[in-house]
Amino acid sequence: MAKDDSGLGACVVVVGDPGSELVRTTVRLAREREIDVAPCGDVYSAVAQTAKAAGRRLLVVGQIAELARENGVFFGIAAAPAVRCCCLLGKSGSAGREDLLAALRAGVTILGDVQDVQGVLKDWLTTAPSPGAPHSGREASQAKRRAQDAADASYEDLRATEAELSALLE
Amino acid sequence: MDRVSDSMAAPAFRRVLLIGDISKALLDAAYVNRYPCEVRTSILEGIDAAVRGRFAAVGIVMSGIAPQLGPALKALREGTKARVLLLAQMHEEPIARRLVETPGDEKLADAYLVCPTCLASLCSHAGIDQETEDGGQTTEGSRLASCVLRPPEFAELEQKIRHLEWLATTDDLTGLKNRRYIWEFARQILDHARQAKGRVTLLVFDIDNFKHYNDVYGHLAGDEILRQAGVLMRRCCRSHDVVGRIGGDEFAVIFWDDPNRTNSETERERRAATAEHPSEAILLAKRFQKEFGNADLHLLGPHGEGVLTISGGLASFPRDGATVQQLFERADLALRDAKGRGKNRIYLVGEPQSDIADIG
Repeated sequence: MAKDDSGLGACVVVVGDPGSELVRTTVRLAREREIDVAPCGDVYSAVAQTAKAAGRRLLVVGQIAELARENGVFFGIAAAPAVRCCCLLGKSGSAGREDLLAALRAGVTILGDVQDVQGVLKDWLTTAPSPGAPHSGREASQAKRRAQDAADASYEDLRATEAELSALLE
Repeated sequence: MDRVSDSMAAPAFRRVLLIGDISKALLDAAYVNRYPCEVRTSILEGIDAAVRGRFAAVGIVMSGIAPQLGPALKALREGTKARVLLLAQMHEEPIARRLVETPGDEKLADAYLVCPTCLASLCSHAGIDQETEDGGQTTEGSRLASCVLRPPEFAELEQKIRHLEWLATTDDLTGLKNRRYIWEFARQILDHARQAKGRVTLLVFDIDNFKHYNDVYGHLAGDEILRQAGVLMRRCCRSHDVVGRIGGDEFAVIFWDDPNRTNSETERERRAATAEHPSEAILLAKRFQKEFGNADLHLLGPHGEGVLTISGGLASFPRDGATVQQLFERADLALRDAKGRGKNRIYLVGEPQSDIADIG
């Protein structure tokens, strides 16, 4: 079991119905690793929580349909250097293609299953930046590169990814 | 973060954050850069800025964000202690009032302003004063630098602004809304009804033989009749309907869909009433007609009971007109028709000689 040893005050913001499998699983996994977890009922609360926790390393987890509300503005907000965002694809029809593309363009990690949260959490913890430097040049440049990579992705790439995601949605 | 009320002891928060389309709420939105304000059109970006920044107040434009308003206000409450102001269109006032008057921790907003309003009024409500320190030569920089919080003065200023607003929108004789308010409200509610497929009905009525009462019993008696008519009409209407005196002995009432009811309820009613005048409006008009007819006015002497009658015209949106002007013209025409056919009746527009008394 990986544990947050970085001492950076990392926090997982999980967005959605408290009774949902995604929220329950994410809360359990975060607590097992002794990481602060902040459950939020909706994307509005998630924005407030993310802004309040500015300076901490954040992992935001939520259903794509919720996080993509308001034309995917949240993805832009969550593209800050110390924040990583991942979305779970819901049941078929719960997320539009525009939502998916907005998420992809912002470099958001897309999950196909709730159990994928475990891998994301582990990866997030192991790629932690050096202690005390949540906004270090390394982290900032990584985030910038992620965003740039996403922005540079050609339309054809996005179409291919979209096709894959459509298959997942069916 | 410090509370606004603690500002005398704490460093003053000097800015107001405005969220939403401010052109829908502020008459001088184009001059926002001259005030200590920041604007975010997106709600989410607004919440983000509100929590990260230090603002005396956050003003949120209610127009067009009804479904998101509750969650957005909750998030603002969670994330910031800034004063939350609602910028409500006239027809959104009942919802804004409810949000502001909710007791205890459930209260999601601190105050509301009815739009259109202006930046100076907003800054006053936000608890921000602007004073010049350079002999009146105010520059943008000096404005920003000199904005300080002084709660006692703001309370006084806010009270004065509220009084001026009252004077500008109220008929002082009856306490009802005045013509200016009625026309602006009608304009706003029609805009809203066009988007939300809502129903709006305008009733225009006057008191039969009012000049006779004025001449015979004096102007004091005439004023009392007008006051009584206002009180009775207000009592007969629902709380969200708007009653006004638009001149002389002429009154207008705007009936519209209850903003606190669920969408499915109103949708069902809309479907049933697209081709007819809404039944509630007719019922309320009939009720008032009856109440007014039974009113006992001692000023008119021992035979003062049951002598007063009204004539009116009732026009509905969208069936009788698409604009405020058209609705008033049609309702006024029906009123004159009712007068011409013997008074003491309310005619429905689009249905010649159709007296509401004949509707079961």
